[in-house]
Amino acid sequence: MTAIGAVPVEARSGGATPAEQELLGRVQRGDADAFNLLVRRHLPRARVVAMRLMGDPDDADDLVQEAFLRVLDRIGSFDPSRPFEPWFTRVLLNLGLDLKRKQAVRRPQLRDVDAEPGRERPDQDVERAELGRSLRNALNRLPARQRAIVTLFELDGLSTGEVATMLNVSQVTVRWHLHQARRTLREALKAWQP
Amino acid sequence: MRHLFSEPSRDAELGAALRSAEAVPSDDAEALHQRITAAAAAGLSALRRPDSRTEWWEWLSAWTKVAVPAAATLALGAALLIPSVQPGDTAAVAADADTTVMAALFSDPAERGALAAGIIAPADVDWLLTQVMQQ
Repeated sequence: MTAIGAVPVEARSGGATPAEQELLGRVQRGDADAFNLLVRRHLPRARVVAMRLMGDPDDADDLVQEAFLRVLDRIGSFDPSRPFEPWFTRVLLNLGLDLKRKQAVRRPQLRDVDAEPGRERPDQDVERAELGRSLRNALNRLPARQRAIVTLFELDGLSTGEVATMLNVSQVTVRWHLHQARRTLREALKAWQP
Repeated sequence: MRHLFSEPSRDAELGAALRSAEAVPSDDAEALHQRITAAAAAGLSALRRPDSRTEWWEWLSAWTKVAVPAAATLALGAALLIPSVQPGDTAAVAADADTTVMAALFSDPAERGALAAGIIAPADVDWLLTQVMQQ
């Protein structure tokens, strides 16, 4: 089963399909219909990745828009024979990480997501909701880079090499961040395990 | 440290928990799509412009990069060359003039008068008439 927003395998390995090459070529010539199609094709996954990174729907949508405009600005230098998705995700992630850095300077205190104080022992549904909330809080407290790495690895199924290429860091760095992120998230999970 | 040097395996339990806890984006995907395409209109228009059609300010801007350094080099060259010729010429004229004056000053009084008459016309008004009659 493929998770929502997971990177399609054909988009991750090898070159672009002829159809994608043709579409990208049209975008390079300023074809508005081709750009619309490109946005429509990549928007759902872009929003999921942005949402994971930013944690706020409005910030995520702003990031997605910024990423599409940045890509359009640089489309002339893009080789259409290469797959678009990894390049686009790299642009999106790097913009998102920059944005998170700026936000961290502006508001250093992270707020508790959906915080509801004074909960008693919940039933099973509520317990699951609490687990989700706890995990989301833990995820949001992670540094942005760790959050991106753990979600790309665990949810999108990318290898550490692919993540390293996307974020322009070494594979060892990715593995170290992955290890740290997993340890933090495991702690959050442990509190809810019987 | 071993986890740094080998590809880690997926953590299925953590993956499932993350998936179930994943926050979903807002519903207005279509609005965002419209927003993106509207914001991209100027960029797409710039891409549609053929390379051959160059606006006058682009042409000027391109040539300015060459013309300004070339003009500066020419001006600098002219500034260096022109003064190096003029002082030499002026010195030569001045030296000639000095030689004539010095010769007039240090010669005998009779010769000095003749020399002075050769250079400057004497104050006597009959001098011109005498010259004409001699001719």
